Amino acid sequence: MSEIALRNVCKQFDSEHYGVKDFNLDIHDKEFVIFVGPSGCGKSTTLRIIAGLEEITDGELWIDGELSNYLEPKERGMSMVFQNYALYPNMTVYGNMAYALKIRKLPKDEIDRKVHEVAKILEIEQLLDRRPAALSGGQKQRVAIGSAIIRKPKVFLMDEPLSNLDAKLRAQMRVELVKLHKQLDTTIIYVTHDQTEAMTLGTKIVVMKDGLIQQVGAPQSIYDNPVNLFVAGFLGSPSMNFFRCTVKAEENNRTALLLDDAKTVKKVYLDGTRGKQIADRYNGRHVILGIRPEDIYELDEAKKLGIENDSVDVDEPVVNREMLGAEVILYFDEQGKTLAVRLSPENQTQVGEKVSLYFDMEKAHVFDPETEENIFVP
Amino acid sequence: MSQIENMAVPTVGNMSKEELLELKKAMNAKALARRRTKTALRVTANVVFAVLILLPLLYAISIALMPSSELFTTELNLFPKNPTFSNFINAFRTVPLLRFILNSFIMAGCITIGQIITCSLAAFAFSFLEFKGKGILFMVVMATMMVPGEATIISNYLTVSGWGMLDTYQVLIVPYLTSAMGIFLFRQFYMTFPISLYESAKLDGCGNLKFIVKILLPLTKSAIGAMAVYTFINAWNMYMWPLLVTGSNNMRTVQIGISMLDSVDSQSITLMIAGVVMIIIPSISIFIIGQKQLIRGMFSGAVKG
Repeated sequence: MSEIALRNVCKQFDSEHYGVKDFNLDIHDKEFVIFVGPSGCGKSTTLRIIAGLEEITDGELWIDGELSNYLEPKERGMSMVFQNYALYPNMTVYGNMAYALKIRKLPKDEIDRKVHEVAKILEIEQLLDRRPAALSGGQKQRVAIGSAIIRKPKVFLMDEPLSNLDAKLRAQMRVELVKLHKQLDTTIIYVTHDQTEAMTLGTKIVVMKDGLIQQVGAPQSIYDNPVNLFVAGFLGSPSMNFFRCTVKAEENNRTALLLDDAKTVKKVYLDGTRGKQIADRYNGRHVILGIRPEDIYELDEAKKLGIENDSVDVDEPVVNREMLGAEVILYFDEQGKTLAVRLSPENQTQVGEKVSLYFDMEKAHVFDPETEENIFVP
Repeated sequence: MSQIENMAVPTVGNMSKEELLELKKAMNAKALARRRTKTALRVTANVVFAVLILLPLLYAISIALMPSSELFTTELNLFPKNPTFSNFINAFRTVPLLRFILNSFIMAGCITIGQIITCSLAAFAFSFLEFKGKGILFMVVMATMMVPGEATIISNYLTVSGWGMLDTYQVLIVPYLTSAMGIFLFRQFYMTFPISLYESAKLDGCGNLKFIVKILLPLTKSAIGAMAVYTFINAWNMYMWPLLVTGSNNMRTVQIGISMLDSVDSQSITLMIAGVVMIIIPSISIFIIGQKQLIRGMFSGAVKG
C-alpha cells in the first residue's frame, strides 16, 4: 500500500532558476506513473525529490498520509534504478543484490534465498559470481533492477533506466518491465524523455515542461486530447502537424479554416458543434490547426471515410519518403515547416511528386495561438 | 606448410612465387636486425644511466664496507680492499639505532594511517557532499600546499611547547595527521565515481561512513597504496621537526640519530655511511613493494580526474 501526494512542491536552485514549480500530483497504489518531457523539464528532479535525494524548497510531500519532506531516503521504503545502473564495482552481482539486505541485517540463508529468487525472475542466475565490469549493458540493467526489487520496496523509482541500451534491447526491456509491474504488483514511477516508452509503459503519464506539469492522464487520453500545443507536439512520432489558419464562418452552419500563406486557396471545414464553437469565438481570427500524421489520407482512403470534401492540395512536392515496412511516411514543406503524413505501405507516391491530401477533421485539434491551449479540451 | 605453399600466392607485377618468398625472407631479416640493434642501444643507454644515478648509493654501500683507513688515503678507492662489517656493528654500539628505527617506524606508520583516514574523509566530503562554501573551502585547503613548512615551524614549535608536548610521540605525529596533497589525490579518485553510486547506497540504507569503508576504500586501493608509500617515505625522511621537538634518545628518529654518529673527536665518515645505508633499507623496501601502486595511483588520478 503506497499513496504518494505532492502538494505545491517547488525546487528552487537559485533566485531565478526553478527545477520544479508548483507541482501537484497524486500517485495511487500500484500505478505505473511516467514523468515525460524534454531534458531540463524537471522530471528527474521530481523523482529525486520523491526519493529524498533532493530537498524540497517549498510545498509538501506526503507518503501514505505522512508528511515526508525531511524523511531520510532509506526511511521512505523506496528503491531506485539509475540511468548508469550505479552498481558497486567492487562487489559481484550477488553482492550487489544482497547488499541492501545485509545492511538490514537479514539472516544469511534468507538473503541467499531472496537473491536466487530475484535472479530467477530476471534470468540472471548464471551471472551471480560476475562483477559488473564483466556484464553487458542489458545484464547490468537487469542486475540494477534486481538490486531494486529484492527489498520489496513500496515504490520503485526508475530514472531513464533504458536510455543506455540499444533499440532492440530497449524494446525487449519495455515488455519485461510491464510484465514485472504486473508480477510485483507495486507502484512504479518512471522518468523518460522517450515518448514511446511513456506511451507503452505507463498507466498514467505526467507531461512536463520547464518545471511545470502540462497534463496528467492515461496515455490514450493524452494522445487523443492534448491540452496544449506542447503536449500535442511532444507525444506522437512523427509529431502532430500544425498550420496557422484563419477562421471563417460560412453558410450551412459550416466553419472554414483557411490555411495562411497558402499558395492556392486551401481550406478545411469543421462541422457540427465543434465548428460552431470555433465560429462563435474566433470568426475572422487566427487559430492553429493540429492534425496527426495518421489522420491525413489520400483520395482512396478518404473516400472510404467520406471525408473527400476536406482536401488540401499541397503545393510543394514530396521532399522525403520513409518506408518503414508496415507504413510509409511522406514529408512535405508546408508553411516553412515539415508536414508528415502516415500512409499505408501500398502508397507509391515518390519524392518530387505532388498529391492531394484529405484531413479527417473529426480528429483535428484547434489551438488558441496566444494561450496555446486546445480549444476543444476544457 | 605444404598447404600454405599450395595456396595461390597473389603476385605483384611479374614476380614469381619463389622470388616473392625470397623478397619476404630478406625483408624479415632486415627488420629483425633493425629491431635487435634498437633494443641493444636502448638497454645500453638504460644501464649507463642507471649506473650513473645509482653511483652515490653504490659508493655509499662500498664505503660502509670499508675500514676507515682505506677511505682516508690519496688513492681513489671505489671498492673496499678488505671488506668489513665493523662499521655496522660500531654504529649500533655508538648510538641506540634500533630505538631510533623503532621511533621512526611508529611516527611514520601513525602519520601514514592518520593521513589515509583524514584525507579520505575530507575528500569524501569534497566530492560527494553538498554544502555551502564547498568550492572556497577546497581552494583554501589547496592553498595550504603553497605555504612552506619552514614558515610555520617556529609557531608550531611554540604552540606544542606551550602545551607541554615536547619530546613525545604525539608531537612527532599530530601536526602531520592530514595533508592537502592527500586530500587532493583522494578527491581526484572519488570524482571518477558517479554520484549515483552514493545516492544508490543512500537508498539502500548505507550511511556515509559505511559507504566510505565498504564501497569507496575497496575501490581506491591504488590511491591508498600510492598515498601510503608517499607519506611513509616523507615521514621517514623528516629531519627539521623531529630535531626541534625531541631531546632525549628515547624519542629521536633515525634521521637525527645518524647525525649523532658524526663525532667532533673522530673521523667517522664510514660509521655514518654505514648508518645511512641501514636506515634507507626500510624506505627503499617500502618503495619497491609499493612502486606499482604508487605509479598507478599518481597517474590514474591525474588522467581520469
